[in-house]
Amino acid sequence: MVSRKTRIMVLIIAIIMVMGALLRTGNERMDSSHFVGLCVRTGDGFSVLTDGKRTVGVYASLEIGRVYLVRGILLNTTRGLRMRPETIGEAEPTFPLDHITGAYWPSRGYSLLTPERVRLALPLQVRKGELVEVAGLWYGGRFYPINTTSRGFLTRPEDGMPWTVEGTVIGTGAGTILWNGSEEIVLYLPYGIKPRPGERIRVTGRTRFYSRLSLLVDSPDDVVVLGRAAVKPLEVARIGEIAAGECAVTGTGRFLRLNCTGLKLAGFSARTGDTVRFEALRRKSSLLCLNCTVTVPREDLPNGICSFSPGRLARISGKVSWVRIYRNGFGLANVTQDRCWVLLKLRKSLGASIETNGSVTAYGLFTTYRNMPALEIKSGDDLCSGNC
Amino acid sequence: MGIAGGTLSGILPGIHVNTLAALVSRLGVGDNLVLLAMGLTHTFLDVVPSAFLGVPDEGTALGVLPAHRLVLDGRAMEVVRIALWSSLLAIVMTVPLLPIYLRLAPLYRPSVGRLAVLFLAAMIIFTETGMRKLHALAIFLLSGILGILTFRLELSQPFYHLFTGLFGIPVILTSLHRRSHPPLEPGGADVLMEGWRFGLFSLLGTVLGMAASLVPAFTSSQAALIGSFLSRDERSFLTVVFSVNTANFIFSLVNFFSTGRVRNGIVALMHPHSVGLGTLVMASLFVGLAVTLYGEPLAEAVLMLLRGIPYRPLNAAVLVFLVVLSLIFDGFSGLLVLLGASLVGLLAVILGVKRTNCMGVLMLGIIIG
Repeated sequence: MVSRKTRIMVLIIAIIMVMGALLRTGNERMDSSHFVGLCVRTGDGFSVLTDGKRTVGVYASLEIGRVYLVRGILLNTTRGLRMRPETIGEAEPTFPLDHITGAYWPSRGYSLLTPERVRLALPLQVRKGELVEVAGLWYGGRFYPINTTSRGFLTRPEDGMPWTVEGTVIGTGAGTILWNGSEEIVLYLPYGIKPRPGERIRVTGRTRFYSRLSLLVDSPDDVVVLGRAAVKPLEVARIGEIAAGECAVTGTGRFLRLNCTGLKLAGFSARTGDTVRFEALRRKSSLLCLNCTVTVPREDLPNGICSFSPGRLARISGKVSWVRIYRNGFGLANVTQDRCWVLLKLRKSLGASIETNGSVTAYGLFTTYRNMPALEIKSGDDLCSGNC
Repeated sequence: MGIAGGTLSGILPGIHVNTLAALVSRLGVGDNLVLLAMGLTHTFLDVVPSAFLGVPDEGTALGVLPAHRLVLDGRAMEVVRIALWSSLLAIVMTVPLLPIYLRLAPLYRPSVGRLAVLFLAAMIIFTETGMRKLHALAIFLLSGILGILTFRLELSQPFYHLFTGLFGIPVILTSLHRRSHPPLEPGGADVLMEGWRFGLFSLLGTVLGMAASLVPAFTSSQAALIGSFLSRDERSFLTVVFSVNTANFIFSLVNFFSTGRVRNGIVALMHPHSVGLGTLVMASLFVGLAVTLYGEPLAEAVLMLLRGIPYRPLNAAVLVFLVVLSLIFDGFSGLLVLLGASLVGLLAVILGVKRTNCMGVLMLGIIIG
């Protein structure tokens, strides 16, 4: 039987041996100290703080991007400095900070455009594209912001930098064209985003100076529809505004020619002689029809054969008293009604055939032929012979 | 989810709630309320392994011996009821103490805590009689040196190895050494103690738990030491221990949210400033009531399960399990600490001094700073 004394001695020797082993394997414990650092990583009750020069692992879950004052026991381990915290509190940074000025660009992560892309570890509480001065620290190839000062938005476009611009959509072809009041900007919008012509939009994108000023937009959220452009009378409407008026069509083709403006009307079809009421987007050299209707069809025009006035649009109707076709294909037909007559100019390209004594109705502009009253028609559709 | 996690860590021997919380946190479940529910549930149910199997954790280390003694006397369900109701009472009593605590917490200075711990250490040692004073001092110092050496290591579960070694393994080894074992009997669940005394000791435990949460590394067991000077029987002492345990947990949360001080492993996983005081109180009451409702049937089921297993093989299996767990947690270093702590714990048994002297494991470190 082992005596109590022996057991005690054996236990004490064993304890001393175990403690000796622990002494050899333990870390070097440094004095109770404090550390002020920015939290750059966290998880599983362990966080990493850095002050730009030193990095300390702290056994606590902290919030990334906040600066903490941690008091506790600092251990110098094989994996770097570690601290068992006794107190943790938020603090102001006491270490030098790096400063970066750029535009905030939260797209595929958070970044600052300077215009080079600087990756941020955290989002900023500013609007996309806003110019900011950010103070913080670099860690692991990313910049951790601590203080942010807003510097507003860029007022002029700079290549590679974000720009927010307001204007009216005046074209939607291969690239959407925006008129901001002074120049045209080509917008490259995300898939599925198609603002309509005449809409006023605010758009934020990254400026590129290609052959034309271009804006690359990477998120549907960056396109905000503000409403419709202002509607003004045709005479006073400027580019980017909606012109309203009522005019007669003097010519057709890809565009309509109108008798009230030199600008061509696109996006609507009517016949020569029709009266059209329109709301159309005023562009640089044309009008784009947004809401157009024919208010008076040309059939309702009075017979203007007796009221000749050069340059006026008219409908003439009457009997063909004679027809003369020249060798070059050009022809003339004399249309009479009561005592009035007008010569109908028949260009070869019209491909029209008119017979003597037949009834005819034509729509065109009054002109003269060898000082005689005449009517010039633009296409064969504007001439109707027989029972019209 | 928190209650389920806390229940699991509570009834399983050696699985500390910090371990489970760190695991679920790694799985992405890091909500403060989940962690709160998990930690609080654990403080209610850690009575099961400590009383039935003699396996302690940092909150119940001092309660292991009296609780285990009552269990062996056939009063297992009474111990469970004491644990559940004293924990619930601690939550309720925490509420009126919160305004005082919120004023006290920012005033705490390490020097105050150090003085308090020094006073406590002196009381533990000098309440021994005769030559035992010297033995008690030796155990206190050995435990303290072991603690200091352990905290220099980068262990994930230092408290597990220390408390299991100092308080759990000696109990299991002593049981294994004994020839005959009475079967585990649930016994009556009635608490054989006057209601007013139960309330009074629970209040004492709550106040001591409050004090424990102010001082870093001052655990529930240390706070319960003070209770051991005032309580004269096992039941009142257990009431103090379990109330301290729960109150300490809640006040640690309050301390963390109001001053940022980290006082336990669960809190270290939490995000600061994200739970209001009202939410904390309401969630604690809800969890407390829920666990009190199902705690007894659950403990009874565990006891029935354990009764089916012969006591000696059960103890041996638990011993192996604890050693393996130590190895899993921290490898060889963890095992070394467990061995050292077990040797110190056994030495205390052989010298015949109170096991409370082993609390030097935490106290010496605080005293020397």
